[in-house]
Amino acid sequence: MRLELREITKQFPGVLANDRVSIAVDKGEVLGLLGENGAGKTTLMNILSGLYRPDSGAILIDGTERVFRDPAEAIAAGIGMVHQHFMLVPVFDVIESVALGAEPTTGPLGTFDRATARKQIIELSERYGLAVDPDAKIENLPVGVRQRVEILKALYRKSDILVLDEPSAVLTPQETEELFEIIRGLAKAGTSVIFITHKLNEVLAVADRITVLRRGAVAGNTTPSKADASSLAEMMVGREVQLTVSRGASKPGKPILQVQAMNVLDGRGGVAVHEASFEVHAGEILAVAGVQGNGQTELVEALTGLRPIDSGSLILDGNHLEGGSPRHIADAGVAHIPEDRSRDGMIKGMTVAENYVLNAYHRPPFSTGGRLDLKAIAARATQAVKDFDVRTPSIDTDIASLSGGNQQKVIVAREFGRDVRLVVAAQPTRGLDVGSIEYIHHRIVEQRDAGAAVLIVSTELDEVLALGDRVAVMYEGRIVGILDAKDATRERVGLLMGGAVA
Amino acid sequence: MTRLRKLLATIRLPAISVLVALLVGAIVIMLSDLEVLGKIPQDPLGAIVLGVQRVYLAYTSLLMGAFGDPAKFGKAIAAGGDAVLWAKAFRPITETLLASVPLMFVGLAVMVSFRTGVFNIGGEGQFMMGALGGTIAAIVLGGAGLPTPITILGVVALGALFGAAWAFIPGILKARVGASEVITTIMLNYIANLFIFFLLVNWELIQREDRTQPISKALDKFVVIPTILPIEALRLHLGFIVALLLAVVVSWFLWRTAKGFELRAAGLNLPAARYAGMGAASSVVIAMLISGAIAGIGGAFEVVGTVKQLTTAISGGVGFTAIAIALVGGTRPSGVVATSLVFGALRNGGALMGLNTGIPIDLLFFIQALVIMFIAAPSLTQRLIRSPFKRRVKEATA
Amino acid sequence: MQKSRILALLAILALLVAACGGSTASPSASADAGKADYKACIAFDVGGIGDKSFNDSAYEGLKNAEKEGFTVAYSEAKGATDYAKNIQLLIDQDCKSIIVVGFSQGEAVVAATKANPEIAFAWVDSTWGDGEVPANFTGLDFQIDEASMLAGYAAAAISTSKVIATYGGQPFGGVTRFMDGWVAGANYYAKKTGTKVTVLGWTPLPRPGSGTFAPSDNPWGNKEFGKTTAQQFMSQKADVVHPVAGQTGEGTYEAMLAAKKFSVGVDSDQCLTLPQYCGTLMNSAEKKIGAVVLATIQKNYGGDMGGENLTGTLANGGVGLSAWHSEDAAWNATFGALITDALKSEVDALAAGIKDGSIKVSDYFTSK
Repeated sequence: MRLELREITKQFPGVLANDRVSIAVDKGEVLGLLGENGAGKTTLMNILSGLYRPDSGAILIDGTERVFRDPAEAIAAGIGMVHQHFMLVPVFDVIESVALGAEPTTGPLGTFDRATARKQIIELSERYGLAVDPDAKIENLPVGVRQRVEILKALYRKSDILVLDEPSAVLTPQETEELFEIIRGLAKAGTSVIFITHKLNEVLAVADRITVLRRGAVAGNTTPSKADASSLAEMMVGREVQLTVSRGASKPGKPILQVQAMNVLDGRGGVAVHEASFEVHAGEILAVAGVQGNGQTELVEALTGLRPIDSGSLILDGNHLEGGSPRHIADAGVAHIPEDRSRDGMIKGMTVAENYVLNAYHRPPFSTGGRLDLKAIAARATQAVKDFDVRTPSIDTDIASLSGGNQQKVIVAREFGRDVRLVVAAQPTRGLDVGSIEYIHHRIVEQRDAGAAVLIVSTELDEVLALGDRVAVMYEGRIVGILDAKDATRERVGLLMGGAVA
Repeated sequence: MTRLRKLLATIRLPAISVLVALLVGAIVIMLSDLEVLGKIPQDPLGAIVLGVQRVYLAYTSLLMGAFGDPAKFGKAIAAGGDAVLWAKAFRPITETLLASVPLMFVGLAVMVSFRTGVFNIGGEGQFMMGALGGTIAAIVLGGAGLPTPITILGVVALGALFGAAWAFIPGILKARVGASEVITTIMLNYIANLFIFFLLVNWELIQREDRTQPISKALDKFVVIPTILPIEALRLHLGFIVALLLAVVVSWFLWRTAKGFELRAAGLNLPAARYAGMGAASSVVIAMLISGAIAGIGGAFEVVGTVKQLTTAISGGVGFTAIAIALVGGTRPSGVVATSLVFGALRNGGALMGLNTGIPIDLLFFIQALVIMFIAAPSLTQRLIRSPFKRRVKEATA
Repeated sequence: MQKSRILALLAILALLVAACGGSTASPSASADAGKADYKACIAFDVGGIGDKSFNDSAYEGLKNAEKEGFTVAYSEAKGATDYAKNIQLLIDQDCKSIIVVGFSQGEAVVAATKANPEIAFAWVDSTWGDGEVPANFTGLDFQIDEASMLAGYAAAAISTSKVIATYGGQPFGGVTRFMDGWVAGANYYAKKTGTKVTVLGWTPLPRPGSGTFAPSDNPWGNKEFGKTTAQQFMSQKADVVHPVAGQTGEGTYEAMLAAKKFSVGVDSDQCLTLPQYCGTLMNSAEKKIGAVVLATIQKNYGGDMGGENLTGTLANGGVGLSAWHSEDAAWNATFGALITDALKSEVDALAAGIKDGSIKVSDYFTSK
């Protein structure tokens, strides 16, 4: 089936989300839809899947115009969505999950015909090479397999057009490679695929054609043979972008952070971090790689005092910090860029200035004798906004109204605005545009060069490889390997992330 | 100029909500009037006329009850210095202010807790306990013959202490074991009511001497809270000024002190407050203590200054109205004060409306509920106001 | 555009109001002008009008005063904060006789009485307790146990299980006095006939007594509690229940009616105010509040502004057992055979004994 979106325009209050966007995908073709966060990819797909109605423009399937008033109509027309966040019920098994909502029924009472569903699902998975145990419970499946279940779900509903929204975000490099195989197989069997991502090499690897979106409009159409990563990045951002982080060789000094045999519990009765031991030296960046949910979050929380350490030691500059409160640890010179920016890093509803002093409001010059010095706060915040290039109408603007990149700059300004011995940065560029990523990376390297020890946790392999002077890999709560940058190839790190022993 | 515009933007929604609610209230007045309904079949126009007449009488009564009767002002001016006439003219407005005093106290109390992210539904109980504290202080200190200012200080202090103590229980339970403050504060409201009932019939110190009924001694025998107006017959008292001062103090505390900063941070985003090194558990307890103390002072002034006798009817649902006031007032002290005045005017004007028209004051509670609903659903209100006009404009231009 | 529309709407409203203005005064009774100039008023307590009981009886009295030609008005409190305000509002409305209902309004009545010697005040359900009664004050109290003793006696007589029950809204004098009389009536019956009678829900001695009461969050309007309590009493063999808890009692009547058992009403003649329950209401222990209110207004109008505490008794007609409703079909179906003429005359004899002082309620608080 050929799908065409013609001149789609969608206006939200204050934002032109889609501005006369036209894309097309042919039968058996893979279209890579590339764009930064906020470029309008999600809006476009929500229109395609019937969640939104466009203000103008048309959706054409095999040349006929179609109007989707709700998601059910889009599904009926053969459009299948695989969302970034899986929509599966953990306690269901694969058959139930796939058939849910389109169950074959039998008998006068219309009971679920499990046998038929099972047969259909096995047939589908064989035809498209989607290896799945039909009787396994969803909660017992690894993430990569769950994604296959989502794809099966779409195929089961006879989707001729499959939309995959940021499908690689939760996968290891190896799983991503398997996904690409599946996509190629689907295309060969005649399915049209729209592959949405912000990762340049992925579109280059799997797409037949590429459409780049920028600020709601189509910035260009190309093919992998005609484009390379830097030309795509330029199209995406609108200017030339430096993709690799420019940094000198590290000059490691004495160890600043020493972690010895640390165990951290996950709060649900399990062990999240298992016997972790490593050091981070002054003037070096240790990048911790790993698929999301392998204990990195708990490790960072333990290092910054947000989660109790069950056993083992945490030593900063030779001083034991186990059991220290977040404030105690911050005062010892630890800067923390939290993983979940919105949840932990800032307070929406408070101003830029208030967020700037979020962990220093209680001491001079920001307050004396329990009273806030609003003038001092304003002066420092104004300076920080200038220094860190935060684009905000004023320091009294609610931080919630800033873009993600500018919010992160406020956080970085706050954390780096004092004497820092150790930087703990978790997913420091998640969800940011290329320009902001560049800036944040630059600032982190600057801290290293100034002599701080830096620990970066990232699930983006590109980021780990670009920044790490050494690379540690976490798998199921253990540090399964620490490699020097020169040994840390994509393949080796990827294997470790998948649980292979170094 | 921009400041004025900002203010207008802030009060636009509440103002529209009040107006729409009054409009709906008008329809209810018409439709609940049997005479109007009876007329509809034979004489629909006459029914509408009668209905409008009824609404007009009701709302003019409401206004006069809340703000005063121009005719009475005229009389008072004509007569010159007659204190009785002046009192009659000014009484509606002063009674409106007086009615707003408990609303302000508890509204501020609830607001502080909301700002900290603690949903304190216990304003009612804390207010009652404060009233109990105030009663005890008045009887003991006043009875011991201490000078009035000292007795009043004692009344305020014990009211604050009792209110804070009552709020401390759910605060510490939430901080230590994570017990939902919504449940615990509601339960403590009942317990406060029962506890006061028990004391009123069992404790000689406070029970009225000659009664078996649950009423306290007359408190004006022990201490009188001074009134603040030159006309003696107007009973607006010191509590009003204390409420306004507290609004200023609360505002200063929340926005100008490090502790206030912590409380607001905890209220908006608890994980981020923890991340920033603030003691989240202590924020909850501190917020509850402040909240309870303010509500308690409110109860103390209400019982010693206004009602002058403790019964279990002392709170009259103020704790629940206060929740609405805190929300309608945008959880800002100035908003709480303004909303309290509006709700106080409704409450006070409603009495005259009931007297003149027989419409029960419950209609005003209905209108208050509508106001809250409209504010809670701003888009609904915008649509109610805008779309009929918009649509007609479109039709007209088409 | 919008503005002009709103203005137009306002203009129409103004025209409507103008067109029909001036005709608001309602021509009421054509009685003498003196009464029309005399304004009689009631200040109700929280949960006043509509309670089908105590407050409604007072309201009935006020309406009767209006029929007689008085100008009337009333206010209703929603909390203690309204008490003084509402009384003052009535004063500012030039009320000449103000009747305050409910013991909670205590301080407000006392203060208003002292501050306004030219206005007559009366306080229903309470008396002046503080030295000499002012000349402009009438305390109105009710010796209701005298009436409920009659009810208790009749209930014991018609009970087949000889188990009867009662409960209250809240434990204070105005409520427990009903329950005292109920117990006394049963004990009197037991002593007279030598049959053992059990009363559930109230034990008058030792003072202040102990028994069953509604939960305090909603003592007077908790019909669910009234229902379950009645069912509980029935499971303990009780077949006549006397609730003393305002509208809570309606739940009891409902349950008793469904079980074809009996109840006794409270405060006013509830077979009249709640006719759907005539089939279970033997009768009611009644405070003749309506009559007392009307009489007080008349008294005040006649120039006697008070200066006394009055207590309604069987002897002066202030309290009483409501009429046997033999004219009502539902009542007749249930009670026609049970309430014999002999029983009626026994009740009358007991009433006579109480009236002349030969029988004292408090002598029968225990069955000994």
